[in-house]
Parts: sequence; structure tokens; C-alpha cells
Amino acid sequence: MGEQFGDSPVETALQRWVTAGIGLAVLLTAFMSALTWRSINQAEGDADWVDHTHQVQTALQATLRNAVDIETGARGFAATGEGSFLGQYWEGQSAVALNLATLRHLTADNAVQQKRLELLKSQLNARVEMARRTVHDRQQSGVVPAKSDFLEGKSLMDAVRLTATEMLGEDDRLLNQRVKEAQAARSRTRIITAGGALVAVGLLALAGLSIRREIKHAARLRRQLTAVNADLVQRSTESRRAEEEARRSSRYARSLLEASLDALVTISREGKITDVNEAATRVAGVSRERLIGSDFSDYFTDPEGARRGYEQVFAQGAVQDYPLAIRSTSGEVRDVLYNATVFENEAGGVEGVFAAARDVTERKRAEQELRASENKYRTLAESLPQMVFVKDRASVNVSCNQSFARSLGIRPEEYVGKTDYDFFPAGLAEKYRSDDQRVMESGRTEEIEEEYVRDGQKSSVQTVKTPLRDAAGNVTGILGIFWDITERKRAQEQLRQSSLYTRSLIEASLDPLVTISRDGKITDVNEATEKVTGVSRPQLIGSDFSSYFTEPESARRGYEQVFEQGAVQDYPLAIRSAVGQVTDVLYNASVFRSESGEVEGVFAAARDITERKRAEEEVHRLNEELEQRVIQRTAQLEAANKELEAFTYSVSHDLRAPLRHISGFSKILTEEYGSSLAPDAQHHLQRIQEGTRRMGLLVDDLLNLGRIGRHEVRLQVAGLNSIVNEVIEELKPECIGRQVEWEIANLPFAECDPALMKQVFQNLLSNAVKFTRPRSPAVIEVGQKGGEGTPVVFVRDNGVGFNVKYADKLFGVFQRLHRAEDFEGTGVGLATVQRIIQKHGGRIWAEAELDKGATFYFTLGGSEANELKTKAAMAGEQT
Amino acid sequence: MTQRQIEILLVEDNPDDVELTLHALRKENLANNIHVARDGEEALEFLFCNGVHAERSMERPPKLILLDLKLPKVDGMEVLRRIKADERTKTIPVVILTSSKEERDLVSGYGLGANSYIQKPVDFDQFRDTVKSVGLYWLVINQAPVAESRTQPAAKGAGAK
Repeated sequence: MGEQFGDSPVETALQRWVTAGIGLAVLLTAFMSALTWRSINQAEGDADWVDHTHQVQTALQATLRNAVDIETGARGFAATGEGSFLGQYWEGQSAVALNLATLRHLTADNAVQQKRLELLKSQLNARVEMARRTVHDRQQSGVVPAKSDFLEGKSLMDAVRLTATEMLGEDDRLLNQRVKEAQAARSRTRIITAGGALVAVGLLALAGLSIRREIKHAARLRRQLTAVNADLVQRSTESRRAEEEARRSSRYARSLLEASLDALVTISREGKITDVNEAATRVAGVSRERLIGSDFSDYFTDPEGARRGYEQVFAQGAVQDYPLAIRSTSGEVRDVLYNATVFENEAGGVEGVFAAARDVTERKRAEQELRASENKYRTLAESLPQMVFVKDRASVNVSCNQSFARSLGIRPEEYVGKTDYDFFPAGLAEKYRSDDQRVMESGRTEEIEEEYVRDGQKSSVQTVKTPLRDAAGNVTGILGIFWDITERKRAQEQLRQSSLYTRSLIEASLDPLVTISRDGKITDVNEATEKVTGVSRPQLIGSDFSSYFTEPESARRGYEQVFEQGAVQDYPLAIRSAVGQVTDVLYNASVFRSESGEVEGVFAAARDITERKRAEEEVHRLNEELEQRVIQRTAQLEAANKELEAFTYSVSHDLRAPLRHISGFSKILTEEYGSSLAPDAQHHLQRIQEGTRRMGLLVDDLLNLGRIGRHEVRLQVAGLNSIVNEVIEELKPECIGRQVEWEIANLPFAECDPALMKQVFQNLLSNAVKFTRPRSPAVIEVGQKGGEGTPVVFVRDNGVGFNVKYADKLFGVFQRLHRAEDFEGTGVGLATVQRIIQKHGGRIWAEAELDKGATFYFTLGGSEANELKTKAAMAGEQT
Repeated sequence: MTQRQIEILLVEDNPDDVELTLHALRKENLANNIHVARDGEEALEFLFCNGVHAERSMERPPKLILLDLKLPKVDGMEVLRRIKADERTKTIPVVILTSSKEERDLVSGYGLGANSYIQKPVDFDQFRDTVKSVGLYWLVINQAPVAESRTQPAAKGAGAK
């Protein structure tokens, strides 16, 4: 900056001013600092002086006080003689000396004050002396000062006070003077400082502004300079670069030429090669030097054609895709297409032809291959049973294969150029076209299931449409192939229907159905399962099968068993629903396999047996109730039996005795007094005895009947024949004097109570004997009628029989079908027999004909059906 | 009163039965020395010589006891039991003479040591015959057990039983 300023006189002057200005400002600042310093010092001095004045005041006041003390003490003591006042007196005395010394020191610099001080001192001394005298007088002689003394003392004291006051005043005056001077000095300082500061600031500001302006100016100049510099530099660089460019361009051009795979040549008007590139030497197999200057057409299989070629260029200015074949020195032939133009010199004249040869050997081969391949595919397309077609970008037919043509009923050639509208209904053609367009626009292959109509026949086809592109990748048309899927669709539809049907069966089933995978997870469920578990299908699928049961372990073992054994039946489990409701079920499950035979999973159906279980429990409960009731009844029966037993017992005693008495006494009557009785009386007595005898029999029979009822049947296998023979023996006495023919057949061995059976035969056979009394001979048969099932034993007689009209009365107690005078009997016998047969679980019935005879049949146990069969068989036999 | 040897003790409560039995026995001249006890208690008192029969001597027991089962005060079975339980009386033949043919009475009777069990027939003739047979058998045919040494158990060893 200094340099720049140095060059211009204006600037030098300005620099001097600025320097002066700043120097002045600096000086002013220094001066003001000095002033301030002095001011501070002065202030300090003033403060000291104020302090000094205060000290003087203080000392003076203290001295006064001391004087007063002395006075007071002396007076007090003088007045009272009390020693306590002396303390004050002594204190004052000692203090006053000190204070006076202090004052002297303080006023050392002031002669006037010193003089005054001396005065004060002498005055004080006077007073003090007086006081001393007073005290002494009092002490020595106890004299109390007189009033005049007091007045004297007072006037002395007043003189002291006056002097002190004057001293104080002097000091005050001095102080005020000082203060004023100080104030004046301070004001001066303030003004100077302010003024000086202003000036300094002003000067600095000016200096600053000037400097700033200069700096800006300098900067501008510098920028201009830099710009000019830059411009110069640029210009020189540009020219250098242009040169460089030019050089590079030409190098580039050359290398392009050299790099080109196409053989490039330049040909002169005479047909001579003027320049070649690397590729040209390669393809010709001749070096560059040899090529240049040689005949262009030498290197071709068809030199004439070559010559005509370049002459055409000279004539027309250019030629395109001129086919030739270069023969290299090695004999290799390459097909090329020539593109050539003339090039002009600067004057506009034609200098020569620039020709580029595109090697198309490969392309030709490719084309040939393509054609071959096309043929192959053509053959394929033709031989396919599927229908193939090609349309152009506008969906106009390009070609089709034989199958399609046949289906349309045309020759392939007739397909070309037409559209779908020519072969199909408008609606369908519209759809086909829009499909084509879509495929060609999106460029993506599509598979479409659609309708197809031919000869009024509708069918379903699967069509694959794919866009055809040219080498550039633009879509030029569309290739389509389609085939009939009507059958497949039908099959699919059937499958779908059946699957739907199956599915709805599954869903309709009230039984919860599940499929379980190998790892125990649910893979499918029906609605019933959702309902019973209270869980939705999506949640069920994939979850653990066993987690929905009260006994998960048991559930797991269940399905594992199915996997092992292939099936499981009636496996009991209890399902617990989401809300905690438990349902008892029986599971029937089996594995299901994939087509390859591998086990895919388990199919399980649950039969809700809650109802059944409840029913079973109900049955069980009822059974128990029944048991209870049976026990009760049995107990009741027992009780009843016991009662009966007791009754029978008492009857056996109580009925018998009176009977015995009646019989006895009437007998005695007869014996002792019979002879003196009229025959009538005797007859009556006879009747009485008869009666008692009869009653005795009745009582015995009744008791027997009762006993039978209570008797426990003790079954054992017994031969009925032996029992019958026993009974016949016992009946022998009855048969004395009669002709009785016994026809006893072979009777079966039967499970029975022999004692009771004996009673049966006793009864039946004695009846037979009784009722055949009018017969001679009496024929009594005992045999069995077998046939199928249980054997039926019968006792037949040729006695008087009975009227079947009264057959139902036959086995009733006390029921008789004959008059007592004809045939005796209690009417209890058959009832007893029936009881016994009943106890054996058998049945007894009778057939008879009045005056011909009677037959009694009975069975011992066996089913009623068998009995009926035998009965029927017998009925058949009897006719 | 001089005690005559009672040969038959008839224990029967029913007066008609008593009369008929006595009538039958009388016919066979077996009724001379019969004592009738009308209930079980009296029967026992008679046999054990206490109560109303305190004056009796045990040295002269009856030769036969005809015992009905249904008796007031002390039941027939009980009387039988007592008779057969006591050394002094157990050898006296006891014939149970009752209406009952109940099996349990048979079992109990024989179980307790009855010598015979007869059901009283309803028919008087039969009854008479039965009584006759019984009396004949036990009083005449049957050898009674030795009487003398019965009251002196110490001297048992001497006599043959």
C-alpha cells in the first residue's frame, strides 16, 4: 500500500495528513491521561486533607471533653468530698495532655493554628490549675469553693472553648478553600478531557475514512489488472489448443480408419487404389504398399462388377450396399457389401471415391442358418397338432400352420391377409384382437384361456400369444399357439364339482372332522370342528391337535397310533372348547396317502358321545336305582316270605289242633254212645268226621303248596323215569283190584329238583289213576314229545277227561271240575303242580275231551319260542 | 300225701288235646300215673321239684315225658333244653308230641336231644294208635335208664348205665 501511495503526490500529502492526524490524536490521548492522573492525585490529597481536618476536630473535641471532665470531677469532689469524682478528674487530666500533643502534631504545618494552640494550652493549664487547687483545698481542708470560684472557673472554661472554636473554624475555612480549589481543578480537567477526546475521535475517524477509500480504490485497480492478465493467458492457451486439436483430430480420424473392421479404400478416377486401411490389407491379404497404386478391381471374384461399382459412384456420387466378393491371396472369399461416395477436394472437384466394404460373410451364413432353422420350425409348426398362427402389428393374418388351416376349413394360403373377423363371430374376434394388441403393446407373453367357435361348435382353448420382434427389438407382430382344452376343462369342472360336493359333505357333517399332519398339527377342519372347539378355522390350522383336549397326552398317543397302525376306532377323548365346555367324543381315524402311496396325514372324525354317555350314565343310574329297588323288593319279599312262613307255621299248629279235637270227640261220641244214637245221629256224626278228615287233607295240601312256594329249587340232573317208577310203586295199593296199564316211555334226564318232581308225578299220576276208575283197563301213558327245542313230558289217561270249557280253572286253587261225590280231591293238587313247574321255569297245560281222557303236558325250562315250536309240531301230529 | 310214681308227664296246654290224649292212654291202660303240666313252667317245677312241686323228690322222675312245643310261660323247646341239660333229668325219654311237622322244629328238637318226634294226626283213630304205640314202646318195651344212682352223682361209678 505504501508503494502505491508513494507514487502519487496527492497520495503523499494525504498520507502526511493522516499520519499527523493520528499522531495528534495519540498526543491528545497522552495529555488527557496525564491530566486524569493528576486529578486522581489531587483528589487523594483532598481526601487526606479532609481526613486531617476531621482529626483536628476530633482532637479538639476530645480536649474539650477532657477539660470538662476535669472541671466536673473537681467540682464534684469540691462540692461533695466524694472520692468517686476524683476518678473523672484524674482521667481527664491524663487524657488532655495526650490530645494536646496530637493537636500539635496535626497543626504543625500551620503557624496560625500553632499560635492558637499555644493559647489553648495556656488557657487549659489555667483551668486545670484551678481545678487542682480546688481539689487540693477540698482534700486538705474540706473547703467547698465559693460561688466566685465557680464563676471563675466557668470563665476560664469559656475562654478555652472559644479558642477551640476558633481553631475549628480556621480548619474548616481551610478545608472549604481546599475543596473549592479541587472542584475547580476537576471541572477544568473534565472540559479538557472531553474536548480532547472529541478532537481525537474526530481525527481518527477522518483518518479511518481516508484509509478505507484508498483500500477500495487499490482493490479495483488490482482486479482490472488481473482480468487483463487472464485474458492474455487465455488467448495464448486457445491458440495452442487449437493446434493441438487439429493434430489430434487428424490422428483420430486416421486411427478410426485404421480401426474400422470394414475394409476402406480410396479409389482414384483411373480405378487405382490411393489409400487403404488395416482391414483392407487384411482382407485382401496384400500389404499396404502393394495395394496402393494397384487396380481396385483386381481383388474381386468379379472384377467387372467391381469396376462397374466404382464407376457408378463416380457417376451418381454414391452407391449403397453394392454386393461384391473379395478374394484374398490365400484364396479365401469374403462376401461384402460396398458403400461408397465421392470425395471432393477444396476446389469442389471430385478427387476420388471413398469406399467401405461391410463384410457380410457371417451375416450371409447367419441368414442361411436362419433360413434353415426357419424351415425346421416351419416343419415343426406344420406338424404340430396344436394350432399356430402369426399376425402382424395390426392383427392381420400373416401365416398359420396346417392344423389351424384344417380347423378353419381352408388352405394355409387363404389365411394370409385376412383377420379374425373373417373367421369368427364379431364379439370373439374383437376379444382376440384386443388380446393381440395388449400382448404386442406390453411386449409380454400371455397365456389365455378362451372360447373358440368353429362350425357353430363352441369349445375352450388355451392360447399362448407372444410378441414377435425385429432385430431392433420393436414389436412387429404376434405369434400364437393354441389347443383345445374342452375335455380338460370338463374334467376340471367335474373335479371341482365333486370336490365342492365332497367339501360340502365334510362341512355339513355334524361330526367334527380334522386332518392332522405327521408332526401333530391340524391341517384342515370343517365347520363342526370350529363349533365344538370355539376356535376359528385360521387359528385351528397349524395349531397342535392335542392342545384342544382335556388330556393332550392321550390325544397325541391317539394319532400316533393311527400313524403306526393305519387306523384307530372308537378312541375316547374329551374336547375342551375355548370357553371351557367339555365334550366327550369317540375318535375314528385313518391315514390318508398321496398318489405315490406315502402317508400324508391322518383323517379323524369325532363322534359326539356326550348324549350317549349321558344316556349311559342315565342307564347306569337307573340300573343302580333299579338295583336298589330290587334290593328293597327282595327285602320286602323276604319279609313277606318270613311272614308267610310264620303264618304257615302257626296254621300248622293252630288249624290242626281244633281239627283233631273235632275228630277226636266225635269219634269218641260214636264209639261210646253210638249204639244209643239214632241212625240219623250216627250219620251226622259220620259226616262230621268226614268233614274233619277232609279239612285235614286240605290243610296239609295248603301247607304243602305254601312250602313249595318258599322252597328253593335245588336243581340236579335226574332221570325222570326213576322218579315215575317210584311213584307208580307207591300208587300200587290204590290200584289193587283194578286193571291199570302203565305205558311208560323213555323219559329224558332233566335238570330238576327230584323231590319236587316226585310231587308232580305223584299228583298227576294219582289223578290219572283216580279219574280212570270207571275204565277197565285204565291206560295211563307217560312219555315225551321232543322235536326241536325243549322236550315236553306228558301224562295221558283214558279217563273221564274234563270239559275244555273250564280249562282255565284247571290249575286254580280249590277249583274242581268234578263233583266231590264223583271224585274226591281238594282242588289244590294241580295248583301245587303248576307252582312246581313254574319254579323250574317251565310251563304246564292240558288237553282233554269229555269222557275220552285227558293229557297233561309240561316242560322244565327252555325258551317260549321252542315251546311254541314243539306245540305246533304236536298240533300237526295230532290230526 | 304219699307220692305215687308218676310214669308219664304230659306237658300240654290245650285242654281238648289233654282230654283226647288221656282218653287214648286210658284205653290202653297207660293212664294211671300221669301228671299233666299245663305250661312249661309247671313242667320244669315238677321235674326239678321246686316251686309248686317243692315237696316232690327228685329220686322218682317220670318214665316218659310227652312234650308239646307250643306252651305258655316257658316254651317247649326251652323245657326240652333244660331237661336235657341237667344231669338229673337228661336221661328221661322225651317224646315231642306236636301238631307241627316243620323241619326246623324237627332239627331243633333232635338237636336238643329229644328221643322222638311225633306229629299229632288229625284223625283220632290214628292219634289213638300213635299214642298207644308211643306209650307201649317207651313204658314197656324200652328199657328205662337206671333210677337209683341218679340222685347220687358220687356213686355213679358203681352202677352200670
